[in-house]
Amino acid sequence: MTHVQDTLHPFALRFEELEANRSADGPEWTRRLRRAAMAAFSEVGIPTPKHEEWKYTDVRELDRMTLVHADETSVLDAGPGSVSPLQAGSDETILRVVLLDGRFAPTLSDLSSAPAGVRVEPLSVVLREGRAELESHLGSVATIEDHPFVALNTAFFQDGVHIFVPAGCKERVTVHVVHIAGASDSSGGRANVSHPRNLYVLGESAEVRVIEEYSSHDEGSPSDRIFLTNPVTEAVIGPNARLELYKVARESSQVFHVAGTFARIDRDGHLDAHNVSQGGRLVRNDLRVELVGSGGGCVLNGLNVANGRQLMDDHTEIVHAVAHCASREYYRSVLSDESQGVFNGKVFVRPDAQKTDGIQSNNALVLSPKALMNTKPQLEIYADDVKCTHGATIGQLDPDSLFYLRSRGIDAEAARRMLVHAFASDVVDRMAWEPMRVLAGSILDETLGR
Amino acid sequence: MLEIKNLHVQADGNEILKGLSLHVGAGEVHAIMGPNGSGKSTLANVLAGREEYEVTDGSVEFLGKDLLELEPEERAHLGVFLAFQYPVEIPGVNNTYFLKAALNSMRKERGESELDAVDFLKLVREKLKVLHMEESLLSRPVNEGFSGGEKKRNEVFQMAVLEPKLAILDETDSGLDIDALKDVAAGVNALRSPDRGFLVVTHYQRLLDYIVPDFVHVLYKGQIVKSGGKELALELEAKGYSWVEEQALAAESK
Ligand SMILES: Nc1ncnc2c1ncn2[C@@H]1O[C@H](COP(=O)(O)OP(=O)(O)OP(=O)(O)O)[C@@H](O)[C@H]1O
Ligand SMILES: [Mg+2]
Repeated sequence: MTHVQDTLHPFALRFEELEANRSADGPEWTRRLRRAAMAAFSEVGIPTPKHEEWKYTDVRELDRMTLVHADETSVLDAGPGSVSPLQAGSDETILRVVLLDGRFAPTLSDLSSAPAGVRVEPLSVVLREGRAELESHLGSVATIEDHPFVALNTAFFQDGVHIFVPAGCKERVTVHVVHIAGASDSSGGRANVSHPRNLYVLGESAEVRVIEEYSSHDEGSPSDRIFLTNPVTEAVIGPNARLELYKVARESSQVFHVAGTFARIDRDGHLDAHNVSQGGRLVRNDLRVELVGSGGGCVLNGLNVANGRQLMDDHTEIVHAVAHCASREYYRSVLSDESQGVFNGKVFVRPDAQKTDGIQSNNALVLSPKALMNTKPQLEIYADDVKCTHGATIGQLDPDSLFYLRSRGIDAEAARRMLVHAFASDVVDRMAWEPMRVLAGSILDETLGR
Repeated sequence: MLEIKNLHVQADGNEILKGLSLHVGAGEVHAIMGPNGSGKSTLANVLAGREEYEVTDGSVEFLGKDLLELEPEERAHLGVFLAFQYPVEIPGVNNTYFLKAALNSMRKERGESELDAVDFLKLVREKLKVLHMEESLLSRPVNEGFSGGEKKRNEVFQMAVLEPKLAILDETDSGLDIDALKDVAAGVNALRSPDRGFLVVTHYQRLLDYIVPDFVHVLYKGQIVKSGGKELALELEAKGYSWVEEQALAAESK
């Protein structure tokens, strides 16, 4: 056997390089976890459309990437990406965390106003200090066997946000995490791959609002250069705790955004997960929620606005493991030009999960004859006393409504805009945090104004 | 104000209007009656600018302009209003928001300043009263979940707010109970003025007791086959459409 190296996947190769140079950073268990993750990834590799879960979503270009990770020597330039369109109301205290290519940027972040007992810190700090608290949680909700991109993230992550809110904390904490891709230059060139890793742990009755915003700064890089943003978020939601999570993807058309969000919800706990996707060549969101305590619930609420040749793919999975939990799922896609949408919604109701109450709906508005939507509900119900419904529609703007509005003097463009906003309105209105509703509105306007 | 000459209209390759002519002068109320499928709604929709109807011959002049050249919104700005036979439900579009956008687009065209929220609400409340409509309807999505009667009232309410020059009412009375009918008629009558014309499509003479027309026309197979004063409606009611049909057939065979 000669040239073994040649047959190694670029990611495996890169991993070997990093391992060789990695001083004993982080505790031993993380190094073990990374190696196991790399092995798990290598077994599957970058998935191809032959994989059932990747049928419409072709990420094979990632196989040919020349990988540049940011490191300590990187010269940082956050660029315009650091100016977020999300401006909070003045009466709201917000902790701000900026990550550049998956690395914490202390000078751009502001963590000073965390309430007593609440910890919002870079994950790298917690790991470096070797605090044991992570070991039981990290990788426990998002497991490396599940998903090649979770494995990839686990093998390579450098940093991210760790939020810990102790039981009984009475204040609601708002954390705005801004991730900017392509913001670091190192000896190897502009960083083009990152694996931010977030872990949120909410104790009993804790309440947290997190906004994860993904933008990019790749002006000036050759247009055939591609980027991979590969975030993973894990949330451990304790009894009666509430997590309100917003994820916004507005990266450039050179970015493959392949993300996973994984939550485990204890009794009477609740997750509101809002997704707004606008940017990226490809946005793939895997979102899995396990309801493991009775009385728990989740609302998954998504808005995808795609144009050009963008592809936006949501794979959701809700596991009802116990009785008396409620899940709600509302996804809307607005597709222009030659863009594509994919929705796959799995709901598993385990035998013990009696009195499960589940609603899933997925609607797509197709504004151009070349845009395409693939939608697939997948309900597997093994309990008999449950109420689960699902519905999916794919349609165009209704000509009767358009004519009605125009006949009242509203010009064609304004009428179209009204109807597109109307289509998205229930999803937008469900977002409790006002700046997100404003942003969603302007994203819809932008796609129509083009 | 409205001059329709020899109008021929097709949809899906079928000729629906076959040489229709009609003159509506300012201040006049014209009732159009006719059996199902005779082309009444087609006429109303063509005047409002519905694109799926193809005008193959003839002309429509409104206030000196070639109406057929204009987009639906331009016609509305010029003063054309259609109260739809079947008003569409538009979930997600708030009634107030919609109506304010509509009114302000009209005002902008007329060179008037946009109404602010307070003035708009004042105007709207006044009109609601005439139609005995609940203010809560304003905060609901356009027509969504409205009863048949509420939808028809809402059409007349919009008309009252937008104050058109030519109001076309397509069976606004159909399916209404007597109270709703009176409200609708009151809404229309409040707008009657020497510079405004009305085209009232109806199946029922009952409406014409409340909105008294100057002229009554019978539309049959895409043509106006008979015109007269308000007594024609009574005659129609007594004798039925078969009477007109026979006359039309007799005329054809001549
Ligand atoms: N968009 C269309 N495409 C094809 N045919 C149409 C279209 N609209 C109307 N028609 C046909 O044209 C004829 C006239 O229809 P229209 O709706 O104008 O009749 P109407 O007089 O308003 O009838 P009603 O009293 O039932 O409301 C009917 O035969 C109808 O089926
Ligand atoms: Mg009709």
